[in-house]
Amino acid sequence: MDDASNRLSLILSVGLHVAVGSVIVFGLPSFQIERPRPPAPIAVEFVKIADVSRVEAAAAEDEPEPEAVADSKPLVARSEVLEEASVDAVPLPTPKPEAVTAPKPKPKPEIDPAVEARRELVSRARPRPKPKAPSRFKSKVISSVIDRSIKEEAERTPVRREDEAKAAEAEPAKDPFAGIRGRFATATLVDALSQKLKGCWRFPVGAKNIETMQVTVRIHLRPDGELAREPQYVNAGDLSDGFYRVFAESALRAVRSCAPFDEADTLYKQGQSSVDFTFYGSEFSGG
Amino acid sequence: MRIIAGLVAFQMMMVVLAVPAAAQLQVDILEGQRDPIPIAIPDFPADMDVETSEGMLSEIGESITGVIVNNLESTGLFRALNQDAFIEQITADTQRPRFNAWKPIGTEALVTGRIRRLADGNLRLEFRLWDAITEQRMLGVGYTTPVGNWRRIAHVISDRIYERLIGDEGYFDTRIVYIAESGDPLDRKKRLAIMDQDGANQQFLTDGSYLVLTPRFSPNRQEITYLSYFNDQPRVYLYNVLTNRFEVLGDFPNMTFAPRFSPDGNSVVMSLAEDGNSDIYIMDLRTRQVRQLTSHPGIDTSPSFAPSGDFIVFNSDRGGSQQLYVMKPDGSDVRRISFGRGRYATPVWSPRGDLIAFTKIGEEKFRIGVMRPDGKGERILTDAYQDEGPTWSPNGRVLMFFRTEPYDSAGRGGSTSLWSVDLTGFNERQVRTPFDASDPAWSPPQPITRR
Repeated sequence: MDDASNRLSLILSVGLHVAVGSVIVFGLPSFQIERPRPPAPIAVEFVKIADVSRVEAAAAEDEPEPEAVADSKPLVARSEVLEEASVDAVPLPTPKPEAVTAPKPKPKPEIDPAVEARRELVSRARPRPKPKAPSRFKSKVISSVIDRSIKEEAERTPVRREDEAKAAEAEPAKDPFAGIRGRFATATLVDALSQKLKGCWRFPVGAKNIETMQVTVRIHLRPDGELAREPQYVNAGDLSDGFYRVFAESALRAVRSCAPFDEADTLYKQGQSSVDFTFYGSEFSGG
Repeated sequence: MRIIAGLVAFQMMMVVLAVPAAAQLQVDILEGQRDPIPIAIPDFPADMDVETSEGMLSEIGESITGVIVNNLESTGLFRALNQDAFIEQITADTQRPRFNAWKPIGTEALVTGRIRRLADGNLRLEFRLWDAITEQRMLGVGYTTPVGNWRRIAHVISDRIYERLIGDEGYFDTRIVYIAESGDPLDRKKRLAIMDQDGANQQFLTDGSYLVLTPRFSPNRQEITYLSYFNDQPRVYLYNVLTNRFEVLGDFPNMTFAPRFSPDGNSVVMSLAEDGNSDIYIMDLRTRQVRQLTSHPGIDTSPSFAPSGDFIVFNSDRGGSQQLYVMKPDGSDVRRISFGRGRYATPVWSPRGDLIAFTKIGEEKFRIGVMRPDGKGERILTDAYQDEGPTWSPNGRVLMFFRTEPYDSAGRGGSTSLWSVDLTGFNERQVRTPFDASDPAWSPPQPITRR
C-alpha cells in the first residue's frame, strides 16, 4: 500500500515536473492562435567606427553670403514710424519735453501652437512600442504570465500590422539598415551643423555671467534649405536681462545668417524638417 | 520566468534606442566667432543745411557720426564699415532702410539718423538702430539739445548703441580726471586736468602752484577727492566738477595717501601715517568724523571699497611683502587674497563687483592685472616696463592706467601717458593727452535729463 502510493506520488511528481519543464521550454501549446513566425535572421556586419565622426570643416568661403535677392518674404516690420518712446535729452537750459516710443514688445519665447500640434500629430502617427506594465514583473504564476502575454499579443498584433502597412506606404523602399545608417548620418549631420553655426555666430567677449548662459533656437527648413519660418526660442532665460537678451539675439542672428542650409536634404531623408540649436556662452567668458 | 523577463528587458532596451532616432534633432553650439560686430553708420543727414554757431548743420551730422564710430571702434567690439562701400544713400526722409542693400556689405547692425535745427535754435536729432540680419528695429530715440552739445549727444547715442548690442552699460558719456605733468623732470608741474573719455575737451582744474596727487571720482556723483600739498601740508580736497566748487575735507598733519570714496559717496577711505606706520581710516563726509579701521605695525594703504559696501580691499606688507587683503568695512575679518609671486599694489574693486584690478610688481616690471575677490583667477593684462594706477570704466569692463617709459642710456625717458585695456586683456590703446599724464580716474556716467 505504502509502496504503491509512494510509486504513484513519484510518478506524479516526475510527470508534473516534466510537464512544468516542457511548459517552460516550449510554452503552452497554442491550439487556436497561429503564432507569428519569427522574422528571418538579418546578417549584421561589425565595422569599426572612428571615435569622432569626421566632417570636413566648412571652408570660410562656403558660408552663404547673404545675397541681394529680391525679398520674397514679407518683412516683419514693426511700424514704420518712429513711435517715440524713451527719449532722453542732455541737460538743456530750458529742458524740453520730448515725445517718444512705446516700449518694444519683447520677443516671445513660447512655442508656436502650430508646431506643437504638428509634433503631436507626428508622434501619434509614428508607432512606438509601449513599455510593459511593471506589474508583470511581480507576477509569480508562470502560466498566468504566459496566458496574459499570449492574450496581449493577440490583441496587439493586428494594430501593429495596420501601422506597419501605413508606414510602408509612407516610406516604400525601407532599408533594413536605415536605423544604423540613420544614426551615423545624424551624427555627421549634427557635426556639420555645429561647424556651420560656429562660423555664423558672433558674440562679444567679456559679458557678465556669460559662462552660465544658454539658449535654444528652433529652425524649420524648407527642402531647398531656406528657413520655412522665423526662428524661435525654445527655452529662453530672462530676456529682460540686458546681457542675456543680447546673447539670445546673437543666436537668432547666427541661425539667420547661416541660411540657407544645404543640410536640409539629409534632414528630410531622416523624416525631419526642424533642428534645435543650443548655444552655450561659456567660451566667451573672456581670458 | 527569466527568459520572459529577459525578453521584456530587451524590448524596453529597443524602446530606449528607438526614441532618440525619432526625436527632434539637437545641435549644440559651443564655439563662435570673437570678431568685432560689423556696424554701418552713415553720416546723419540734415533736412536743410543751415549755418549754426558750431558750423554747417551737415558738418555737425558728419562730426556726430565720426565721434560715434570712434567710440564704438575704441572698444574693440565693433568694426565700422567704410562709408564708400554703402550702396543705399540714407537721406533725412529715409524711414526704413532697404536691408538688401546692407546685407551684401556684411553689416549686422545699421545706425540711421537725421538732424535738423528747431525754430528756437536747438538741435533736434533722431536715430534708429537696426538689426540688419533680422531686419528689426532695435532702438529709436530722439534728442533735443543746444547745438553746442553735439559732442555729448554723440556720446549718449554711442552709449545707447553699445548698451543695446553688448548688453552692458555704455561708458562713452563719461570724463577722466588725471594729473597733467609738464616741465623739467626734476621739478615737474603737476596740474589736475579733466577731459572727455575720448580725449576731447581738455581742461585744467588747478594751476599747478601746488602738488596734486591721486584724484578719485565719486562712484555716483560728479565729485573728485584728491590730495594736494598746501604749504607742504597734505590736504584732502573735494571738488565738484559740475559746480566747480572746491572744499577742504581736512588737514592731516601727517602723511596721507590715496583717499577714495565709499560706494554711497558719503565717506572717504584713506591711509594716514603716524610715526612711520600707516593704517587705514574712514571719514564720514557729513560729520567729518574719522575712524581707524586697521591697527597693525605693517604698512596698510590703498583701500578700495567693494561696490556692495560689504568689503574693503587694501594692500599691506604685514606678511613680509606687499600683498592684497580684504576686510569688512569695520576693519574686522582681515584675510589675505593675493598669493602669486611678486608684490601687489593699488587694488581697485570693479564697479560690477566681480574683479579686483591691481598693479603687480615683479620680474622688473609694473603690470596691470585682475583677480576675483577671493584671490583666484589672477590674470595679467598688460606687459610693458611700468604700468600702474588702474581705474575702472563705470561698467567694469575697461581699465585705464598710466604707463611710464623707461629711461635710456642718454637719460631720456620717464614720460607718462594714459592707456586703456579691455578686462580680457585685448584692445590696448593709448588715450591722447596734450601733456604727459598720470593717475587717471574715471567718472560715473554724466547726468542726462530723461523725458
